[in-house]
Amino acid sequence: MTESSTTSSATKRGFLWLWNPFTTTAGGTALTAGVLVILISAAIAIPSKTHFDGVLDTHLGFAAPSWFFFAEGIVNWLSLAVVLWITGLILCRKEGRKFRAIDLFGTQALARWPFLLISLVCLIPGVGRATTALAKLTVSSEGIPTFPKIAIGDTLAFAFASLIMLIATVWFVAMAWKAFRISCDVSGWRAVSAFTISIILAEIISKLVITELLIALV
Amino acid sequence: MNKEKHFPVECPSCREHLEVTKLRCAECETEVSGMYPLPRLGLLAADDQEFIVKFVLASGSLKEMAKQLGVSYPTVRNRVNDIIKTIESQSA
Repeated sequence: MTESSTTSSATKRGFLWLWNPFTTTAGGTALTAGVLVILISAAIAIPSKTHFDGVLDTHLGFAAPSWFFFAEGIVNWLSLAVVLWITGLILCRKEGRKFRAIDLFGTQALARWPFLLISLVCLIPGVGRATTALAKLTVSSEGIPTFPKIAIGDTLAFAFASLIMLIATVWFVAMAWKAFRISCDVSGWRAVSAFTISIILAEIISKLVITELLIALV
Repeated sequence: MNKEKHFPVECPSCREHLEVTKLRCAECETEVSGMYPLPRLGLLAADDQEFIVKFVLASGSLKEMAKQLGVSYPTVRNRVNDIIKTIESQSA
């Protein structure tokens, strides 16, 4: 095998791993790597005040103590992992199968790695400025919006960041599904429906918990 | 060049399970004729049989299998579940 074909097959394996790492990585390894990724994403989010204020949500906004950013990441992970764990138990009990909780929790943690991309892209200075400016959008009593002045560079940065946020969020949902499918060995319409309901439930739970944390902060 | 042989299990015409009608001793050339159903494990695909052999050699440890195959524990366990389903459907 030539050096270039070895490099290209290694690159291909790397991309495949990023798309679906769970065929090779689960259990304690996934848990350690996943929690590290969640904490690193939170740490990178602090300077740009990027809040992952829900399982699927990202907002740039207010300054908060560092622990709050870490707490958001952990709450988001656990909200979905606990709901999927219960869902998995219900689905598997019907078929008399079992699965390991550490695989479920670990793969769900690792599935959150696309949010690292969001943390990184929100560091672009123009993104924060554009978000702050957009927050000053006003609407007159006749319903006519007054758009604040935003520099072209900031607008482009914001548009780019928004695109990355969308892609990363969709990527995360796909990863979370694969993690659930492989950890619990579920498939078919029943599993997809259960997963969809679980993610909506987890989003609600994470929002409630983070709101409570916010109230405690204030 | 010796090509790899695969033990045929299914009839190429009607897809029913094949049966053994003749066995031969390579040492003394004795031949045994009759009608013998294939053993249950023999009805599985070659890669499933290979997996089961490795599983037994790993003392039935899914963790050990995962390490040997370079895949995650749930991937190995899911493979076992698939083989269980295949065996159960053959028994049905």
